This record gives sequence, structure tokens and C-alpha cells, in this order.
Amino acid sequence: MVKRRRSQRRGTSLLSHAEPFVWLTGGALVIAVAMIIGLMVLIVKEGGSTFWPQRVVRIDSTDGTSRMGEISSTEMYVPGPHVMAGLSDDTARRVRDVIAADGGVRRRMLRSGNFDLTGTHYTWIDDFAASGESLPEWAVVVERMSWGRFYGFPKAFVIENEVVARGPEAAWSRFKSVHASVRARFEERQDLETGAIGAINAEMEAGRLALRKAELSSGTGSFEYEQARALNDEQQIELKSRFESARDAVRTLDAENARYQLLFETADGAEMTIPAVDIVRAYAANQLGFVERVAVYLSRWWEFLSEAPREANSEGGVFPAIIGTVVMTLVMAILAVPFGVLAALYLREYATQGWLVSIVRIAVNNLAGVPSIVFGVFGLGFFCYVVGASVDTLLYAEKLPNPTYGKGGLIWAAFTLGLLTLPVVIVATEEALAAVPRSMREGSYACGATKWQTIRRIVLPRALPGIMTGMILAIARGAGEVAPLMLVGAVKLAPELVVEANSTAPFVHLHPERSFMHLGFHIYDLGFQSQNSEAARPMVYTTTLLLIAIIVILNITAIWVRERLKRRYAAGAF
Amino acid sequence: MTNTFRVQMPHKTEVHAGVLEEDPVLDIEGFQLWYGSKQALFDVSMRIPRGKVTALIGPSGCGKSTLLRSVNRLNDLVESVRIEGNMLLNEDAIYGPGVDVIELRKRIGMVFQKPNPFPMSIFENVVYSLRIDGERDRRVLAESCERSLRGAGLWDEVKSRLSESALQLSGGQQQRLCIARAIAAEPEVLLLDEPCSALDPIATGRIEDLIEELKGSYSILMVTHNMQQASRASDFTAFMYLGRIVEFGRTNDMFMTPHLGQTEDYVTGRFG
Ligand SMILES: Nc1ncnc2c1ncn2[C@@H]1O[C@H](COP(=O)(O)OP(=O)(O)OP(=O)(O)O)[C@@H](O)[C@H]1O
Ligand SMILES: [Mg+2]
Repeated sequence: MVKRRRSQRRGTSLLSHAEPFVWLTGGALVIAVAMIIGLMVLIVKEGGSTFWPQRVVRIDSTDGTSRMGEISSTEMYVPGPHVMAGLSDDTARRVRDVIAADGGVRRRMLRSGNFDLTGTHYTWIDDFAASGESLPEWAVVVERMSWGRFYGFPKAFVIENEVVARGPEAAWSRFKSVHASVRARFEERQDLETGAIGAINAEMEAGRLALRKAELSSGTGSFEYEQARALNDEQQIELKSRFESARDAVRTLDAENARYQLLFETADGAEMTIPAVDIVRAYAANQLGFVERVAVYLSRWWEFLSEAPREANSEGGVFPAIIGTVVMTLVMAILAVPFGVLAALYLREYATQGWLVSIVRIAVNNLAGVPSIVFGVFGLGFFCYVVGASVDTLLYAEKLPNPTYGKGGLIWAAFTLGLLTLPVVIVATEEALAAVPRSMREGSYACGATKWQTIRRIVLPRALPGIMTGMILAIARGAGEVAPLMLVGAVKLAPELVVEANSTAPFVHLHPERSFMHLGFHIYDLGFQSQNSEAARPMVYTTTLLLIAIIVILNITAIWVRERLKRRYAAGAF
Repeated sequence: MTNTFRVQMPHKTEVHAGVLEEDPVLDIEGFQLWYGSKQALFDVSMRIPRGKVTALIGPSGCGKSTLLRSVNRLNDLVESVRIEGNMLLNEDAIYGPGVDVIELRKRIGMVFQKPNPFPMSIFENVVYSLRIDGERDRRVLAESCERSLRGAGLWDEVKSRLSESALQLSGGQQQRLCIARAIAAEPEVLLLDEPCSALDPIATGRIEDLIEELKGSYSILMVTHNMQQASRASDFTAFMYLGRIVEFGRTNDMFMTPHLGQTEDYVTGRFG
């Protein structure tokens, strides 16, 4: 009895609370959350499925041609008059019937690859134009170093222009037995080229610069200059011989690799020879079981995360962009956070609160609203061309007219974004400082602490979680920013990484002057600058997914640190 | 009740004979204080006896906290404050051109109305004043910590968790921690501003016992709203009203035979 009455009362109170405002505010929240979740679901679904190996379909057309590839999308449409005019009367009637019944005809986009033969990566195929389709057992997907994907049937395996295996099965198994070692040799020659030969080139350049430096400081013909030249000549001879031997090693490896080739036949019957070394990955798509498909999926992800991009960024990986994004964001945080905290400390703790401070505070807040491209222009004009150019004339005179710091680079990008995120840090820090109870400061002063001791020992530790919140916001803002980066150092393709591992201490070397790749810029470049945006689109989703994941990881790390700090100072029950 | 209160403004403090015989630790001479244009203390003169507990009573807003905060110059932090007159701590001027406020505050301990432990461990809280003096020696710090916590009657409760956050202690424990922090610097005078007003009766009782124990080794100036507390815990009592010290004498005399009717009205609860 009692129970029933209580539940009834609860019901009426719920109704009496259901005012229009509850629905209005709740509805707004639901719409916002739904949009965010929708966006995330789209990115995760599209980005996550890009690398999943699909079946390869062969579609024969009524006009006698055949296409083979992976179906990438399906849509219903009503063909325009010029299409209808090109059809035979019989087909046109059939199409009209279908449109009358279903409202449109179906067409599918086939990722048909073979760009070097057909000039296109994708083909639309109308259902009414297809005469048959099948999943051929020996359809093979080939990911190549260049020209994008290839779809075809293995026909023969060739060693030094001599066919050693004929027929799909034999050719395929011969290819598989050598492919790993061919790729290993390829990796080795790449390492030699970037590692050993790169180092020799760097030493040669260093010698040349040392000579130029001696020339700049003492003049040609001076004793120092002659000495430097003698040293340099000696070094150059030794370096040349090392260079030759490294080059020979590369040539030997290349020659060995060039011996192996795989001969393919396309769905159309054209023949195509692909050197084994050009094949990054190949699989007979329709023979794969679930486990093998997962293996292909994971190996593609691994390639994406760990390799440099190929083919105008639309293939390969984004490793340099990951490094660039993370390092740039961290350098930015290291620059912006201490600066912002100091500025906020002055504003809140030392400055006499008055109209001047109020104006400064308003100005700082407004800085956050300035379009980010304006910061980019400022960064280029001030950091690169003024500060960077001065650094060059002072410290890198021997390299001029080639700029070292006087151009876009990691450090200037970090400075620019640091400036951009400074207001966020300042505002958050000021709020955190203001939230430190007066009683704690007074307690500290009463113990005989100076102002600085009070700030350092009481105020800052207490405000630290709030400051961390500011840092998290700054990182989230900075890591996702693209527009200013285009002006101050982010590039489509960076030849060298901004951090390099060394065998000698300190083992990791940062090159703050180098330009860098950035995931945000990469997305823009892939999606809107690429000649083949259809092929790049899946990569756009995947890169977006990755960028979001990186920002989330950076933030979660910061939040974890913040929570640990908070727990240290957790307020107990009174 | 207010209408039965005898409204007359004494211009001179009624000081009982016994007070003048005491050796003063703190000597307040004609002290006046303004918040902006509003005067909060009028010509306050009193000598706080050494090694005794002096209670400061009076209705809310009469300036007790202001007077206490003037002793360790915490009022310097309030921008609009202006003062006249002086105070002497063991014969050293508290106000004056050459006074080092930081050094001065180290000689004075203060405990506030609401417990204000710092956001750090119990240990670091207690040794805070040694830390800011640059003391690094672990042994010295540990000794001081134990002595102060024992002095504040908190040692047995926290000795096993000195490295835990002070904010996890109960309100009463936090207040005793603040007392330990104040006595760790071995101050010449201890200022308590309603130390029990945020605590329950049991915690209050413990603090009162503690004040009893500290008596003798410390000179204490304590603000309280609680008449029983004043009569139980203190040796001397000063009654303050509208920024003036009205009457000052031994606690017994103040409660049993006050000289002024105003004081009598207040201590008997007819006004307040
Ligand atoms: N920072 C300040 N600025 C201006 N006026 C102040 C300030 N602090 C206190 N006052 C005023 O000074 C007078 C004395 O205040 P004080 O806090 O010393 O009273 P109190 O006796 O401690 O009262 P309570 O028993 O309520 O704590 C009050 O009228 C108060 O309004
Ligand atoms: Mg008060």
C-alpha cells in the first residue's frame, strides 16, 4: 500500500516537472550529442573499413569488355537523355521499365585499378550494361610501389626473362617463395641509400660548409683557409671511396632483385609484367579465409602507421605525419604552457587589479577569437622572416643564401600555434589561480612565507589541475589546427623527419628547423589537392580517424596526470 | 533585549588592577585602523600577559578579527587599510619603517576560524614554516614535526600516515594540525581566531583541553564567541565593542564582578 502511493506520487511529480524548458534544453542536448556521435560513427566506420580486403568481382559488359576489381559504392540513379540516346531500343525500353518500377537503375563503382593501362582507378558499371559477373578464383590484388593497385590473373613467373613457372597456381607459388627475400633486399638497399649514403652526403656537406666558414671568417688564401682546404680535400677523397662502395652495394642488390618478374593477364586479356620488387603486397582475394583477411587488414594498418607515403600521399603510410604532429604539438605545449602560466601569474597575483589589467585581460580573451590564418601570416612574417633570418645571418652564414631557420619549420610552427593557444592557457590558469581559497594564502603568509613562496608552494600546486585543464584544451586546439601551419612549415612531403635516432648520446636528435608533415594538413592535401580524390577518399577517413585518435591519446594522458595530481590533494570529508 | 542594554560610550578602557602587574608579551599602544574611510579600531591599548591565555570577546563585527590580524600584519594584504599607533612584540615594534614583515610573522603563530590545511601531506603541513626557512635536514624536520604534533595532541592519530594528504583529515583534526603548524615555528605569541567555531562539541572540547595544555609554554590571544569557553579556558578576558576595548581584567573578575554594566550585560547574555 505504502509502496504504491509512493510510486504514484513520484509519477505525478515527474509530470509536474516536465515543463517545456526541460524538453527544450534536453532536446538541444540530444541533437548536439546525436550529431557528434553521427560524425564519429561515420569516421570510425569509413576509416576503419578502408583496409579491409574485399572480394574481387569480375563484371562482363554487354559490349564485350570485362572489368575486375573491388566494389566501392552502389547507387540508384536516373540516366540522363544523352545516356538513353546511346542505348539500343531494346535496352532503353528495359531501362525505362526498371525506372518505372524502382524509381531508378542501379550502378556500382568498381575500384578497377590498372591505372597504367586504362588511365583510371575507378569505373562506374550500370547493371543494365552488365552481362555477367563472377568471383574468379585466381583474381589477385597487387599493391604496387607506383601506379596504384593492379587486378589480374597470374600467368607466369619469370626469372631473367625466362619463364620458370606457367599457369596461375605454379606462378603464384613461385612468386610467394621469393617475394619476402626480394622485399628484404629492397629494404636493405633503401636503408643503405638513406642511411649510409645519406650520412656520407651529410659529411661532404659539412666539410664544404666548414671550408666556406673558414673563407668567410679568414678570407681565401689565408693560412686557416688553406689548412681547412687541405683537410677538406683529404676528407672528400675518403668520403668518395666510401660513397662508391655503398653505391656498388646498392647496385648489386638492385640487379639481383631485377631478375624476378611476375607476368599477369587482366580481365580484358591484356598482358602485364610486374617486377617482383615493385609489389608491396599481393593476395588472391577470393581464396582468403577470414583469418587471412584479418592478417591483410592488420598488415595494411601497420604499413599505414609505420611507413612513409607513396604516390602523392594516396598510398603507403603516414608515419612522418604522425611524428610531425606529435612532436609539433609537444613542442608547442612546452612553449605555450610555461609562458601562459607566467603571464597569468603576473595578471592574477602581482598586477594591481585596475582598468589597465582589465583591458589586458579582455585583449587576451579576444586574441582567442582571431582567425587562425592571421596567426599563420604573423608567424611567417615575424618568426620565419625576421627572427629566423636573423638567426641565419648570425649562426648559419656559411649556408646562405639557403635558409636554415629563415623559412617555415617545426620551431616556428610551434611558436605560431603556441601564440594561438596562449589565451586558452592564460584564461584557464587565471581561473585556477582565482579558485585557490584566500584562507590558504593567508595561512601561508601567517607562517611567514613570502609572496613567491606562497605562490610556489601553495597556490601553484593547488591550481595545477586547473592549469593542466588549460594545457589539455591547448593541445586539443593546437593539434587540430591546419590553416596557419600551411604558412609556417607543414609540407606535403618532408624528405626528413624532425626527430632522428642517433647511435650516440643523446640518441634522439630534434631538428627544429626542418619542415614537417602534419596529419591535419595531410587530410587537406589528400582530400582536396590530390588529382585522384576518389582514390584518396578512404585515406582521408583513415587519416582523420588517426588524427582524432592521437588527440584523444594526448588528452587522455594529460587527464590521467591531472587526476593523479587531484587525488594527491583530494579534499576529504569534513 | 537590546533596549535593556546601557548605552554609554566609554572613552577610556576600564583596566583591572591585576593586569598591570603582568609581564606583557604584546603591548598595544593607541592602535587605530581604518578600512578606507571606515574606522574599525579606535584607540586600542592593551598589554597581553606573557604565558597566559587572553580571551577577546565581543559582539560580531566589533573588530576582534581585525585586531588579531593587525598583530601579525595580515591586514597589510587588504589594500584600503590605514593604521595609526603601534604595537610591540617583546619590545620590538611591529609597525614602523624598518620592520621586516616576513621575519615578524615568523615570530607569531596564527590559527584561523576555518581550518586551512595546505594542499600537501600532513608532514609538509607541519614543517611548512621550517621549509620556507630553508631547512633541509630530514632529522630536524622529523623532530619538529613529532614535537609539534604531540603538542597539538594529534601525534597518535596521524603518526602512521604522515605522508598522506592533510585534506583527508576530519575538521577537528585539521584544526589541530593548523595548531601544530603554528607552534612548529615556536612563536612568541599564538593568535587563535575562533578556533572552534567550525567544529562539533567533541572536537571543540579537545581543542579547549589543548589550549589548557599549551598555557604556560605559550602566550595566547584567542577570539571566542562562546562565554563558557572564555571562562573555562582563559586567564584574562577583554571585552570589545564597536572597535574599542571596553573592559580588560582577569577572567574570574570579568565574569563575576565586572566593573561596567555594559560588560555585565554581555557576559550574562543579556546582549549579544
Ligand atoms: N576587508 C575589509 N574591508 C572593509 N571592511 C572590513 C574588512 N574586514 C572587516 N571589515 C569591517 O570591520 C569591522 C570589524 O570586522 P571584524 O571582522 O574584525 O569583526 P569581528 O569582531 O571579527 O566579527 P566576527 O565576530 O563576526 O568575526 C566590521 O564592521 C567589518 O565590516
Ligand atoms: Mg572575526
